[in-house]
Amino acid sequence: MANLLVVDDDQDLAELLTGYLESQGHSVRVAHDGLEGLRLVSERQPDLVLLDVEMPFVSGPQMSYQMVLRDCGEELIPVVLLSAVTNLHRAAARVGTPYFLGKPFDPGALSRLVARALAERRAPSPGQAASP
Amino acid sequence: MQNGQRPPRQTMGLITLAFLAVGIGALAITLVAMGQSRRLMTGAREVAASSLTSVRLLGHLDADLQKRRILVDDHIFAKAPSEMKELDAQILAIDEEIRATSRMYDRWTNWPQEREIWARTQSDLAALDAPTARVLALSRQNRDVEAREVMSQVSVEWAQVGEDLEALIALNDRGAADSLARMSVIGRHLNELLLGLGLAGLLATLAAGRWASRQVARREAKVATHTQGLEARNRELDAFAGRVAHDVRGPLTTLKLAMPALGAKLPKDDRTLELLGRGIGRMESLVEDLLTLARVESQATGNCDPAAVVAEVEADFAPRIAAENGALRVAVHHADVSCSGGLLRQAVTNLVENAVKYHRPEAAPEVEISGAPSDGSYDLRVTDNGVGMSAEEAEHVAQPFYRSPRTQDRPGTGLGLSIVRRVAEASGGKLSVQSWLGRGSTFVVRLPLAKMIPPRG
Repeated sequence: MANLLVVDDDQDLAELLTGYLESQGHSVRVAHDGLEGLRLVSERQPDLVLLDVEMPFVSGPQMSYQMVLRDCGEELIPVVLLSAVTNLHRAAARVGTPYFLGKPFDPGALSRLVARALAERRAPSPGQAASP
Repeated sequence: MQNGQRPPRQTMGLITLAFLAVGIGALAITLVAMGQSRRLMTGAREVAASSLTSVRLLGHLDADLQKRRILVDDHIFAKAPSEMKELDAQILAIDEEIRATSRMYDRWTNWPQEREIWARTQSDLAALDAPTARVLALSRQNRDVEAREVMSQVSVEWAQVGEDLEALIALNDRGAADSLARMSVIGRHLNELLLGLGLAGLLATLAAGRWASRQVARREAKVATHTQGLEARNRELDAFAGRVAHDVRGPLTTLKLAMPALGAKLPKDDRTLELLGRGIGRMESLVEDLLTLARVESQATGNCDPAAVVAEVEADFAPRIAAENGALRVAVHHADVSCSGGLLRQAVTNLVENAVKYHRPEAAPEVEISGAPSDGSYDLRVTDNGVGMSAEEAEHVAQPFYRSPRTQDRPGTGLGLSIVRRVAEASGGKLSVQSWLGRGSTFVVRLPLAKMIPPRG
């Protein structure tokens, strides 16, 4: 269905996420820190990035800035923030994404949010924020 | 901030006491000084007055004595017995006057030296009585030459008496002058003393004020340091709780994500997945509750309207209570209380959650939320018709992780009421519980009223 990129330093979680999303019919690539994530983005543009906030080397927010900087904002790839930090809504506001989900989340909630982000990507403007 | 940074009552008491002591001390010194100076003044004035009287009396005496000498001379000169008789009478009269003046002056002598001279004068005068009597006797017999001789014999004594009188007058003059001088000195001293006292009072007031302000400043600095320490600890705890929650939520996410894959491999009637899900759910609630509990202090700022907060909670619970055929009654007055809206919502949610959770199996849950100002505070009550508690249980119910032995089978972290209590206490209020076993409980959250105009709406 869609080409997704999962960036999370928790390897177990990244593996399970990949398995779950692939079971939903998506094609999934995995990176374990922001640098690797940026490399994968430049290799091939994903339709959606599922991004952790706290990661070594390059954090989630830093990686999303770099993504915007590198393509000069021409390709706005939607970002879904997935994190256990206590003020996730603020991190999402900094990144500028309406999509965020606090850990621990239900797999169902995740697939709904992914579907919504992908759907809104094709629409001209994503509009309102999603509730986590 | 609600706790205030005013110095405690003890310091204020000390300051008041210090001012009072300084004031009373100054007043006492003034009174003593005034009494003392008045006594000295009176003494000096008496001495001055008596000296002046003495001078007048001595002048009198001197004049009388001279007059008497003249009369005696006249007596010697006179020839006619009738004339001499008249002079005799005059001398007798003047003698009487001299005695009276002497007696009077006797009472007005002030100094030992004066008394000494006066005693000599008196004895001299007494010694002159006999020669004078002889002179008069000779004169009466018209033996004028002999009488004059006797007179000239005692002229030295007469001169001595005159000198003594002059010395006495000079002495009294000087005494009066001294006393007057002393009076002016006392007056000057008194003025100086009062001026000094005024200055000392001013300085003492300044010093006391300075001491007081320094005391207050020190107290404030102490409170500020303490507050800073508390704030730093709250921040640390907040960060720590956030870190722990983050690190526990990560593995929980892994577990949750593993469930669908696991579910696909298990037979349909296997309960493993359900149990796993329940375990994860419990851990989730525990993490959330611990996080809330740890962060109450760092978030306990701001004001809110309990009526608005309760309305939100009512909307959350209405469907669930309706589903159990229960009733939720709300009668909450508008007010402005010092408690963060988010925290109060959490507290009321926990209380209603408990009321619903611990209802009696045979009775549908009936929950009543009421709120009204009372005694300068605001009381928010949540009453239920649930299982209730014994007095002993009610005592421990707000301790972290306490769970009543009778209700341990129901889901819960044992932190809900601890959170409510901590919210109340962090806002400067308290939580109290009344409960009747088997009939229900009433939880009262008492919150301070904010001194502000209630918000509109």
